Amino acid sequence: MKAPVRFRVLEYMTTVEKACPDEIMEAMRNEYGTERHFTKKSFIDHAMCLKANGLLEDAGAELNDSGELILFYSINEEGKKMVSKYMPNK
Amino acid sequence: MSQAVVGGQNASRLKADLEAKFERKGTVHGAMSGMTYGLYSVILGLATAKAPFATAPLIAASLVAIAINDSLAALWLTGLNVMQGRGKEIIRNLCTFPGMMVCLAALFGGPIANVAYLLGIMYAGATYAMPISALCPVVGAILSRIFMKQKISKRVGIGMTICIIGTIIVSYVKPDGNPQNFYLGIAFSLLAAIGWGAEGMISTFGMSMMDPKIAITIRDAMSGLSILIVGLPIIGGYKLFASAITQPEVIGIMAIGALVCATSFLTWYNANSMCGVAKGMSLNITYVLWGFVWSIIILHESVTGMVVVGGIIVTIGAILVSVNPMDFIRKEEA
Repeated sequence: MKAPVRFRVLEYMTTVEKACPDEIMEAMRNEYGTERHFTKKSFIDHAMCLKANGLLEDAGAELNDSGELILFYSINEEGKKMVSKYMPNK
Repeated sequence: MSQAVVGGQNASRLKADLEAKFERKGTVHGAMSGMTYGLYSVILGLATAKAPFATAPLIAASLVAIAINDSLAALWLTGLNVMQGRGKEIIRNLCTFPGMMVCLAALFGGPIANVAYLLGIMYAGATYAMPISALCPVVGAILSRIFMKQKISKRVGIGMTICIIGTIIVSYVKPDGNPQNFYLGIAFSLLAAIGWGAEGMISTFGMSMMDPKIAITIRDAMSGLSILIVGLPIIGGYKLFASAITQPEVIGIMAIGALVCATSFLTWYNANSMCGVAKGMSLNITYVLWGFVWSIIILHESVTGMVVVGGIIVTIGAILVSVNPMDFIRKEEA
């Protein structure tokens, strides 16, 4: 069985130095792309909630060509600890 | 890690706006959770004052009422998740360790705390049961000290003392009516605080990784199902259950109560997830004060000055146990 999407988001963050919600979405597309919760709004929510819970940290911000704000996140030690403890099949 | 902000002041301003908006949304959710939990408590009191609950033995009435409430709340929440395409996520989360911990926590929060809380409302009245049950962060701190070896800081100790003083003030003057059962109601309200305190402690295992919309669905489903499958056969409560769900007025009130309850828990879990557990819990605990407001508006109950003062003191104490006030000041300055 697939892991819950928020668990996978956090696990993915252990494999990259930093990522924005768009990049996280692309990495998850093969697994969850056909499901209705697979929206940009959801992934922004996953990232911001994981940050509010102290598992991710800010890793910069930039404006893209169309003037849209892109936020980057990185995983911290607490986040890594949670992944190694609670990620299924870990 | 150093943060690069590319795009100058515009990007910085947009980032600050977005984060402020997110936290504001969390604060609104937290405030709503307190308001709706106070309302739910009053609606539940209203439903259980009607037949068949009013004429049934109190333990059976409270178990059946909570079984119906939590199951209906789980149905509302499952419906919301399925509509938003998260149906499979419920099963996926259930198969994780944090998901299983939410199930275990639900046993303390549902069959034990929710039932005891309702018995507290039935025996002592909602205006007394609510402030006593708000001692749950105090119990959580004590249980965490015993089982998780977490230290009780000076601030938490002061908050606990304030809570106990508030509780004594609330329960010092008995209401008119049946004073014998009043103290039984206070005892059950204390048991509710113990159950919710235990639930809070157990939920700390990895719940920050879970989507709150899923966590609360699992919690309510587990609570409702455990009473339906295990609790009701033990007390022989199926007859009362069948009688209650076939009475349109009772089931109508309970369906509204369950929707309000589901909204309360959903907004509380959302607030915890969006602006941190400390702030979420502080906002949620205002349900005590909201309960007074709803009791006056809906039940036309007279609330004594002692109860209001005690309720405010318990609320302040519970907030102090849950959060360091300096955190708010530091955040404002940042």
